[in-house]
Amino acid sequence: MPTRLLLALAALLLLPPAAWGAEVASRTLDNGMEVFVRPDHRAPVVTSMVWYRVGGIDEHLGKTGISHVLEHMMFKGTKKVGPGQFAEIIARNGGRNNAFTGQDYTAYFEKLASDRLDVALRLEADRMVNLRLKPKQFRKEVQVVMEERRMRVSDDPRSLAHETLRSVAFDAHPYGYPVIGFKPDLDRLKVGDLKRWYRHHYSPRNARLVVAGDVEPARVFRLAAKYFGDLPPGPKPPQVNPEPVPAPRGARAVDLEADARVPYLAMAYHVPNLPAADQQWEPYALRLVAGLLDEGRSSRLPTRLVRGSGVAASAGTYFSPESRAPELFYLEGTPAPGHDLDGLQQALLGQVAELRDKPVSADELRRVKRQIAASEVFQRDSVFYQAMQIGQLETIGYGHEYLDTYLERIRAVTPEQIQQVARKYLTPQRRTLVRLHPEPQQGAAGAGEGGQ
Amino acid sequence: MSANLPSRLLAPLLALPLLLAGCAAGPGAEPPAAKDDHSAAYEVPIQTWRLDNGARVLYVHRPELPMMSLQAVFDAGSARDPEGKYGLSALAARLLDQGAGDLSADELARRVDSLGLKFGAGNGRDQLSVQVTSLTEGDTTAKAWELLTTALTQPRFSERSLKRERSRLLTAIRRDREDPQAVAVKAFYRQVYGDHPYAHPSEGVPAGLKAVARDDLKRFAKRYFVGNNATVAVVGAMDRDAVDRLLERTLGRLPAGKAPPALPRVAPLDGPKEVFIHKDVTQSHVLMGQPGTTRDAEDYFPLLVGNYSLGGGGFASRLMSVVREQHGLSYSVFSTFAPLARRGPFVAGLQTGHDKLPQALSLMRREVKRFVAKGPTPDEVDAAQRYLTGSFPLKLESNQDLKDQLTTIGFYHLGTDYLDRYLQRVREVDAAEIGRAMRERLDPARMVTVIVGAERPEGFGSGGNPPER
Repeated sequence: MPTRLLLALAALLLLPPAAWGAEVASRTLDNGMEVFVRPDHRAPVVTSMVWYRVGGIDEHLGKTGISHVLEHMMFKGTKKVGPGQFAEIIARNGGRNNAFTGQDYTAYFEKLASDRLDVALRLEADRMVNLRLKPKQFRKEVQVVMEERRMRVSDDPRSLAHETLRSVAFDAHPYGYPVIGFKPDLDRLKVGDLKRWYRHHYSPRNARLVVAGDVEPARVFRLAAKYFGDLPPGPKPPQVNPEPVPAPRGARAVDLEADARVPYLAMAYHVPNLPAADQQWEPYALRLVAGLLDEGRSSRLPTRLVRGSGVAASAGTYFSPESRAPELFYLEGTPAPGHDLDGLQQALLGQVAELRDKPVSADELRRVKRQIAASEVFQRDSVFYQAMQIGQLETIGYGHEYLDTYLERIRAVTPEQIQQVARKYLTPQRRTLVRLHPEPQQGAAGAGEGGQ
Repeated sequence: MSANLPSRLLAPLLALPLLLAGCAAGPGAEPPAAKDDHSAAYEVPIQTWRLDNGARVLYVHRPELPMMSLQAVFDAGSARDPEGKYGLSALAARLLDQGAGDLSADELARRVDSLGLKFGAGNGRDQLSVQVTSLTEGDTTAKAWELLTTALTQPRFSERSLKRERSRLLTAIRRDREDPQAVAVKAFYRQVYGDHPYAHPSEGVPAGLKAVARDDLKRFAKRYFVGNNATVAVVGAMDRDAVDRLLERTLGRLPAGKAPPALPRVAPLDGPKEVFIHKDVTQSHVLMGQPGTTRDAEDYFPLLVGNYSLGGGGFASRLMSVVREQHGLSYSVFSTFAPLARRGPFVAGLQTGHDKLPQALSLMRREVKRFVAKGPTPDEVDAAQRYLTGSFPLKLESNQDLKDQLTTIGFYHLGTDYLDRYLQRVREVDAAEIGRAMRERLDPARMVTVIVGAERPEGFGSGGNPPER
């Protein structure tokens, strides 16, 4: 193997990957806007993203979904750029663009040949401060969002189950509101609401630019200063101080009936994110708990529940330690034919209990750590993902430096720590559970879809 | 960093961000971007050769990351399912990582995970594919390719695994009936393809899955997992000589065998068909279309450029502009050619509330009809060409992207100069050529239209629906 590769490997796998942090260049413009650059020269293309620290977590009942509707309206034009022209200009330059809204952020991106980066930055700077919000376009776009909601949630029983799960688990905390908004809130939304939302949250001070791909940092900083540097800094970003996540007070369970063909179960435990953890290692240990259960086909859920006892047709976990407020640790599954939700629930809870009661073997833990380390390399294959990581970490306040020590901290987790987080956090008091029961089918409804 | 890889089930449901649109980007009438496109400056040297057993290798050296991506593709998709055993290809793919040689399913899983591999198999209508991604550290890649070869040459297909994977597939199929879009897609293929092997879904049908026995799987593997039926795409840090040597030692051990005969031709539709499927949903899902073109056809290019303006270019397209932007009727509205070895479908679709369905349907039909009759304007062609040539390097960005391109080039025999030819052909088509190709392939008077929804629109599908097969 060539020496160069060995060195790269050492940097990625054996040593704490300090080199990763060094690969992100950053600068703050005079108006407070932060700029991050991650060079990757494999192909002559570039991904640029503008991240705003505003999302579902900043919303209030009565105005849920407002961040996402505003994201849609960001394509409706400014004084200089007509409605719909944003996408048109990017496309004519051979680029793609889109945007996304989450609980913690709203982000806009363009992918272009690297010598067209200026086109994206010019347009993003323009709509950061010059957006025109017109009532007529707004009314039409809200209709589009309603259709989006129907497609994503109303007609998808499992999405409904997850909306219910979060709503019950988080009580009045905004993490319990769907990012797409409650329908009555969308019905009542006014263009004036959007104008206020835009004024408060869209400004250089509340935004960060991330550029990844075939670029040199100096050029990006120059272009960023040219297009964003003269924008007024905007108001001080509102000190978002959402209510603390409600203290869990006992197990909750919901039985949901919907037009489902297959029963389904999802449960979630309140767990800390990084800032809320009592010990810094706790979120990393929880990440490994998720890995032990569901990383690769040799992990516990596929081995024991799918291939072993056969109680589940599928089973999985989801946990991310990266969020603005403490989030949930999920387990979910579909019972195999001949098994029911009770059996699956007992099996999943049994796996949780075992994590509390029995220390994991060194060998099993090593296998999961190895997989996580390998995925970190594989994920670097995507330039988009690299930009996404940096943007997200900066926006939620972790900083991209989080990546520098990530694998080191994962490697440091011990079997005892796994057991400790399982005992402390994966408890009935912190649990919310939703069971989705298929409604009895009327004979006629299935006509024509019987397959072949 | 970040989450454990969410299970395929969970990922789309969680608090993952909402996208503005299913597909991105679009032009219209504005600003004069420089006409030069720099895509031409980006050359990707593809190296090809054959292994002794006939397997075609396509390889690109990408030394920057210490990893290797390999994908082996066989002409063994669901179109090769025998009559009465629809689902054989899907089961073969799903069972490939469920035990191999002297390794049980659990042992194989542990081996794969201990090496930190990404290992997977799947099938479509044309292809059955297996892929493995590995670090180049030590002999990890050699072990990875060895495991893959064992899986292909000595699959276990144990009764126990067969029973389990069949039952999981049946559950997945039942669950698909919750999803109005999935219901519509299945009905659409059934109507467009009739007796052709593309008619049934790539995951099979319940009766077919139940009929598959262990011997069927063994015969299927023996027949199709052979060198002369294999395309192998490789991208990564190992140099060509090392790749060649390792491939000969691993996938080179597949028996030479024979490629299967070509699939039957797709018959044209003999008239319009309207199919309504009742489902208790808040939105109606509409799909309309016909057999389109093949992946290696020359008219692939005029159709690609033309469809960008009709419904492939997101906000740049007429469908999006009329249905979503002018009337706010649907979140997603699109048209696409999905070319296959034989004529893959042309399909246009949208979703909308029941009260808006008649309007949305008639707008979509009008736009398709008009476009087929008159073709695009020169300005639309120009916008499409700018986008398709300019965005070309984006298709080759990651090693994974590149590997997917190599697979397509190899499997459909597009030639190693395909990447150059792509740019040249996209640039040279004009409105007249697009109009001709559209009219040759599409006949708006003979479209299949499928609607899944809670209310049948007045007059729709009442005139003698063809009986369901």
